[in-house]
Amino acid sequence: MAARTMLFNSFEFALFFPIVFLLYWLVFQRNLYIQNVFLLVVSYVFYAAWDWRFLLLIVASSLLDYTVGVFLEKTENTRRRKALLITSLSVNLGLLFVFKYFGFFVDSFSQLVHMFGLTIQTGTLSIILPVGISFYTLQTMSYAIDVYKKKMSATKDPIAFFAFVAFFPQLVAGPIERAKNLLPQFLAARTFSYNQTVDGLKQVLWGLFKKIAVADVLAVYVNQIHAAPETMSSGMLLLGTIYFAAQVYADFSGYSDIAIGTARMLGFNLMVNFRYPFFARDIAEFWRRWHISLTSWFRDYVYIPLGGSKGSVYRKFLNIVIIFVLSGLWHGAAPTFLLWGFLCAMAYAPLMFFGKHREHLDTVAEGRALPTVREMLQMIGAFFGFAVPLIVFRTETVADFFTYLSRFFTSFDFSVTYDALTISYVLVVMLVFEWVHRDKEHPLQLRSTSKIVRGLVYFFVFYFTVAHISNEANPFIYFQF
Amino acid sequence: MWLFIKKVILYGMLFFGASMLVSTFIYGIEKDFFVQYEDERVVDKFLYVNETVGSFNTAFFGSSSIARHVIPELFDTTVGGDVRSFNMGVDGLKDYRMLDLVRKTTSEHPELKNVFIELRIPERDKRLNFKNNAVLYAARWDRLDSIIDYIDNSDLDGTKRRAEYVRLVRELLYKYSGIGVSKYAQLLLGIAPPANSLSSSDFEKFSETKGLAVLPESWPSRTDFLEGLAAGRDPLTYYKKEYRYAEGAIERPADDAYAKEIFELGQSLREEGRNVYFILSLHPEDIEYLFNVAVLLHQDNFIVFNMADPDMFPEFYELDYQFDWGHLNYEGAKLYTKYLGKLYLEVN
Repeated sequence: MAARTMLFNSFEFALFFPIVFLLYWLVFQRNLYIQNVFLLVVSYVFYAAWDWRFLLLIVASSLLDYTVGVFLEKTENTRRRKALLITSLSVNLGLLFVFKYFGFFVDSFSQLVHMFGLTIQTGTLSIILPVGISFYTLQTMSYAIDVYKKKMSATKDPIAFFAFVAFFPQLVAGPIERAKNLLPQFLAARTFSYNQTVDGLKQVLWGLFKKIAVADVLAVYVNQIHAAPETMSSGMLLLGTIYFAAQVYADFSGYSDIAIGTARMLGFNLMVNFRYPFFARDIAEFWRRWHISLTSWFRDYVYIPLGGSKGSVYRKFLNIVIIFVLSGLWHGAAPTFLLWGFLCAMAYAPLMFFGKHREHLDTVAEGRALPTVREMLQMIGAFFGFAVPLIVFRTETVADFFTYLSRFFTSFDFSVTYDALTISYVLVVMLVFEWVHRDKEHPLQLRSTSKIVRGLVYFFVFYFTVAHISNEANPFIYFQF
Repeated sequence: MWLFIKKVILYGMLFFGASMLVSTFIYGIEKDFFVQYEDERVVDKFLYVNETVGSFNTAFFGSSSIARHVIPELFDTTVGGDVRSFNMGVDGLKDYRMLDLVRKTTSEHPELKNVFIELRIPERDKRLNFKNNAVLYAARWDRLDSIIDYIDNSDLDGTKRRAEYVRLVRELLYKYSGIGVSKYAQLLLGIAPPANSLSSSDFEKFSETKGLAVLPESWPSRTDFLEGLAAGRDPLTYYKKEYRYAEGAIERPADDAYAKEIFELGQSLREEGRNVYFILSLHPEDIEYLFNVAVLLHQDNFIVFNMADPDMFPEFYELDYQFDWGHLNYEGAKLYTKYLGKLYLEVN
C-alpha cells in the first residue's frame, strides 16, 4: 500500500481536525459562503498531505461535472443532454481506467497473447493510484446521472459543489455520498448543535476503537497466517479467515464511523455505511448492511438499469454476477478481486432463485437480549458466506487462495496457538458492544440514563483504544481502493 | 460551542488521568520495570547471580565488549587470590541501562567487592526504537534531565533532534500511561511477550561460562571483511589516527548529566566499600567524549583501565584475534582478559 495520507488515526489528523473544527465554528460560522470556501481549502490541504499533484484530478473532475450539471440544467434537448452525460461518464470512467485499470488490462492482454506463443513488449508504465479516486469518481458521476434524470437540480454554486466533491471526512474512502443527500447540506446554513457534535465525537471514538483496538490488533495475526498459509494448521487457517473478515469490517466501518462522526461535528449528516452486518441472518441481508453506500450505488446505477431482479432466471443470475464482479473490479484491478466478486455472486444467487433474498428486513432478535439458536446459526452461516470468499481478497494470487483452501481441507489439525486464540478478546468486546446497541446508528448511543454508567462505558472504550495505539498509524485497508 | 469545548477539555483530562491510573494499577502493581522491560538476557543473568549468591565477589558490567572479551575463569586465574568473577555483560547493554543494572545488582549483593564498569556513550540507537524494551527501560522520569541533556548536546540536526524529543515523549507515554502499548494487553494475558531486538542465541549457556558470551559456531567471523579493509588501509593504522586525534582533543572533564551519573554511581559504590574500576574498552564510539569522562573520574582518583589504546594493545587489531570490527574472537578474548588481569594486578 503506497498511499501515505493524513490518516484519521494519525497524530497529524489529531492536530488538523481540532484546528479545523474551532476555526469552522468560531471564525467562519457567520457566512455560509466563507464557511464552504474554508471547507474546500482544508479539504484540499487534507488531500495534498498525500500528494498535492493529484489535486488537479479532483479539481478537473469537479469542474467537469459542475459544468455538465449547469449545461444539463439549461437544455431540454435530449441528444445534447445525452452527449453531456456521456462526456461526464467517459471522462470520469476514463480517469478511473487510466489510473486504476490500465496496467491490469495491459498485463492481461500481454498474458493472453503469450498463451498463443507470442510475446509483446508492453513496457512498464508505473501509474500511482490516486487515493480516493474510486470514491469521488462515483460521487461525481452520480451527480451527473441524477441531474440528467432530473432527480435533482444542478447547483449553480461552484464552491459548494467543489466542497461537496472534496469534503475531507469522506474524500478518500467514502461513504460514497449521493449529491441529493449531501449537496443540499452545503447550500443550507449550518448551525452548531451541541447534541449532534457530541454524538459525532462519540462515533469518532467508536471508529477509532474499531480501527486501533480491533483491526490493527487482528492484522498482526492475519498477516502472520497469510504469510505462510501452507505451514498453518486448519485451526489457524480458520482463525485467519474469521480474523480477516473481522479486520476488514473493523477497519472499514471504523473509517466510516470516523468519517460520519467528523462530518457530524461539522454539521453534516452522511449516510450510514454499515449496519452491523455480522448480525445478518443470510448473505442477502449481509450485503444490505455492508458498505451500503457502494452496494446501493451499484444497485441504483447499475443493477436496476440492467433489469434488477426482474426477467428470466438467467437474466437475474447474470445481473447478480455483473453487479458483484463489477464490485470486485471496483476494489482493484486484479484477478483476485474478480474471483472474489464471482464467489460473492455464487453465494448470493441461490437466495435470489428461491426468492429468499428479502426475507430478513428487520433487526435480528428485536426486543430480545439474545438470539435464538436458529438465528445464531443463521448469523454464523451468513458470516462464513462473506468470510470464505474474502480469503481471496487478501491473498496475493488466485493460486494462493487455492493453496489456503487446500491446506485447510488437508491439514485436519485444528490446533491453534494460545496467543492467536486469546487475541480474539478484542473481537468479542466489539461484538458485544455492537450486539447490545444493534438498533442504534453506533454503539455509543447508549441506552443507560445513568451518567456514571455512561461515563464508565465511554472511558472503557477510550482506554481500550489508547492502550492499543501502536508505534505508527496503520493505513486503512480501503485507502488502496 | 464553548460548553462543548469546556467539556471536551474536562473529559479529555479526566479520561487521560484515569487512563494513567488504570495503567499504573494494571501494569505497575509490581512496578518492576527491570523485569518488565529489560532484555531477558540481562534479567536472566541478574536472576542467576541472585540464585548463586555468594559464589562471586567480582562482577563485570558492560556491552558485548565485556560480554565477549572477559573470560571470568581466566581472569580469576590471572589475578589469583580470592577473586571469583562473573561476567554481567550483555550485547548492546550500554549507558543508562547498564548503570541501572550495576545499581540494582550491587544493591542486592554487598558481597561484590570488585565492580568493573565499561564506559560507553549514551546511545539512543535508532534501531532500538520505542518498541524495544531496552530503550523503554532506560526512559524514566527520574532520568529525564539526563536524557534531555544528552539529546540537547548531541550532534543531531534540528529535525532529528525534534524527532528524538517526540520519540522520548512517546516512550514515556507508552511506559507510564499505557498509551501506545498494543503489546500490553497481550502481556497482561501472558501471551506473546514483546520481542527483543537482540538475539539470545549467543547466550544460552552463560551459567557454564560464568557469563562469558560464547559466540555460536554459526556466526561467521568477519575477518574476510577485515582483510578487505586491511588491503586498502591497515585497521590498526586507521584506528591509531582516530585514537590520537581524540587523545589530542581532550580539553576538560565531562560535565554533562550522563557523565555525572557515572561519576556519582562510582562514588556511591566506593562509599559502600567496593573497589570500582572503569574500563575503556576496545574501539568504542565517540572516544573523545569518553576521554573527557575519564578525566572527570581521574579527578576523584577512580581507576580507568584503558583497553582502547592501540599502542598498548596492538594485537587486538591483528586479524588472528579479531572477530569483527570492535570484537575479538575467543583467542583475542583470552588476550584481552590476561591484559585486563595484569592491569588489575598493577593497581592492587
